[in-house]
Amino acid sequence: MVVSKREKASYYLFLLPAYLVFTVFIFYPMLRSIYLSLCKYSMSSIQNAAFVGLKNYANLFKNNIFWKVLKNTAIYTLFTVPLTIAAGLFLALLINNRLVKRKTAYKVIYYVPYVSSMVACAIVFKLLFDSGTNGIINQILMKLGLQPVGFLSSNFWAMAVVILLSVWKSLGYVMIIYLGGLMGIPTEIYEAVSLDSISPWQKLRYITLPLLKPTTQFLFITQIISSFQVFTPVNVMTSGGPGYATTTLVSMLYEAGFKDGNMGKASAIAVIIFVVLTVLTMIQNKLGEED
Amino acid sequence: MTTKLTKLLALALAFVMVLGLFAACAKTETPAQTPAETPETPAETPAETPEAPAETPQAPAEEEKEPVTIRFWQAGGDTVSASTIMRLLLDQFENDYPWITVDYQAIPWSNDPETMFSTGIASGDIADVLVVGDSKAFILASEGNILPLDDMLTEETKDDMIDVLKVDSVYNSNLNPDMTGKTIYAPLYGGTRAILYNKEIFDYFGVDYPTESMTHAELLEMAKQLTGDMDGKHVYGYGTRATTSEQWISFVWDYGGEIIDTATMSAATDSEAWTKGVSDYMAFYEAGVVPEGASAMDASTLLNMFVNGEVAMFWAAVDYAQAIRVEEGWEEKLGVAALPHEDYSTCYTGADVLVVPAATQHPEETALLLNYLLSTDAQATYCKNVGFFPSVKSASAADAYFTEDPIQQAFAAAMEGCHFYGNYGVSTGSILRANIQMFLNGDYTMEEFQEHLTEEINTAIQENFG
Repeated sequence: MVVSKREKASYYLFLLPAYLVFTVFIFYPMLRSIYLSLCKYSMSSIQNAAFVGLKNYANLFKNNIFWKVLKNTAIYTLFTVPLTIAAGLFLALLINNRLVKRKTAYKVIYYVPYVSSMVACAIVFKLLFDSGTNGIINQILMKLGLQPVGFLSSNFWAMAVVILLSVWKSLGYVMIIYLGGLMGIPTEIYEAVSLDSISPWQKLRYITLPLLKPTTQFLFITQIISSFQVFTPVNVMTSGGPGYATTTLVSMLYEAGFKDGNMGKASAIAVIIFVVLTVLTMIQNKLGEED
Repeated sequence: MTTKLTKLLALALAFVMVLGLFAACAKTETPAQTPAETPETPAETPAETPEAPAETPQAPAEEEKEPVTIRFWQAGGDTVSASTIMRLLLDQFENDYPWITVDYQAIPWSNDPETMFSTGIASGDIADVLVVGDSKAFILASEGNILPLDDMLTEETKDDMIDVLKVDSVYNSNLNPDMTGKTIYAPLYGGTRAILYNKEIFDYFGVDYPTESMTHAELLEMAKQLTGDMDGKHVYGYGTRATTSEQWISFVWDYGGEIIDTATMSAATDSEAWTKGVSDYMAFYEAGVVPEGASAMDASTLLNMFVNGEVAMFWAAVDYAQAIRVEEGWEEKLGVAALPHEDYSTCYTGADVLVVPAATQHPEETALLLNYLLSTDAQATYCKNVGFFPSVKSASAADAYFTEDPIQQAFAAAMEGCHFYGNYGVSTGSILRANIQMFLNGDYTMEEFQEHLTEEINTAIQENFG
């Protein structure tokens, strides 16, 4: 089909609004952020941005706190992503089972946390896991004759509680995506293998999981991206503490940009997150292609 | 026909989009597009109709003047009735100076007003007068974004300012030599911390109420005596939380310690004063007189524990005292005392202050407004209704509310020994929080605590000013 130049022009005109929005709200801010990461730029005083080259990056790499925070973010991601995906898959398999009744009710129940406000959920978790004797979990522990636990005042438990909240909140979303994937698997395949005597585990291992691979890959990428951007639960529940135990890259970025007003440093952190995520996504895509 | 319609539609859409972009980027002079386009007004109306301020004696002689509108943006103003009272005061000001109209907007702290103001300054669209926190005033002065007020405030106003606020209002840094030694703000009100205590618990354990001459060591002894079971409930002698440094920094100030040495612009946290002060604070944790999880506790949890009778005393601002007092049974059992202070002033204080951006279009009228807001009647009316402490001596001396109310008296006494957090142009809050928590949790020894704290503060200074 030959498309005339005029017709082509009309296609571009149709695309123009979307591209304008993309350019103004995404593309330009991204480029500006990269530029600001090379500048000394104080938001609290609105100095003109002064070009300082890679100084913001050098300062960050020299800063022990940055490495600690990067490690925290990696730990958070390493636990949150596999746990959320495994729990979401488990729930999806359970609900997809033909023996389970009232599937819609279960789907709604598990999906509700995902559409609830993260701030509200974090406040509820904070009340549940309060380190004092007034914390709901601690009250239960004491009723059972156990000692109260300093959930939010201990390095280990504070991170564990943040991970638990994130997993609990996201698993409904993962479950729904997996349910979509499970519905996409042709029933003929299961019917065909039912002629052979294979166990349910073998069915899962050799049929379901391989066919869910594109879904899993999509979830891995999106969950890693959102894990690297974790901020709200940390800010509401622990403010990054105790010490720096739950400070993540985005909470460090927020601290630098909106508390210290150091937009150059904040932009440098943003660029580092962007680079890390891009590399991780590329590796994942590459691995997916090889398979 | 369809192709033509399609093209026409595409063209129209693109045109609207481009027009929209230009409109969004355009700068406007109308006040309707200020950052606080729809400021939140307090949900609650004041319990009592506030007293209207008396007419100021400074009203000028009748003469024809060009009408002037000055814009006034207040960060905060979100405590009960604060913006309503301010509007009433401004109505009175407009009566006194009929050619001046004040376009007033209060922007709650939750909306991050100070960042909005910085953005306004950068874009050249900023009000003629702002209310900000005193540390923000320091930053604005360091960058030359506000005017010195020495010629704007009358001698009468300056003389009347509470001493500690007057001292802090003078820019004492070398970061901006043009401002050194000049008055950079006019305090709208001051606030300080005092010990709030439950008299019932003190009586139960037979402990004398805190006195003004108390030391930190005596406070610890008192807390030990107040820790125990009372009516089947465990009571902690002393409520504190390490999540904000205002809860413990006065222990360091008590030995003359500071966070940053402004002369050298370097961390002063490796000093002997820090070792002693932080050890004193740690002693409360070691003695088991503070609640479980105090190192990570938030303000509302501590407040609840106090109101529930699980904590005998804690320190807080005057608005906490006012809120507790109205709870059933608390009028009688709430006591207030100044924080321990010996050789140095230790009582944590802060102020919300008026500053005049360098880009103001109406400095003369703005000066009239500043002096009006610091007048005796305006100060007494505002602070009485809002709950903080007047920034001028005449207001606190003239009104029975400040001279006879025991809570106000206690906070007034606390103001005597008060100490500003310190205006450094560097945010140290999260560094202090993180390091004290690590020390209290046993992750750091005292030596490691001071070493890390000093290094991190110096890094922050380097990143901001290096």
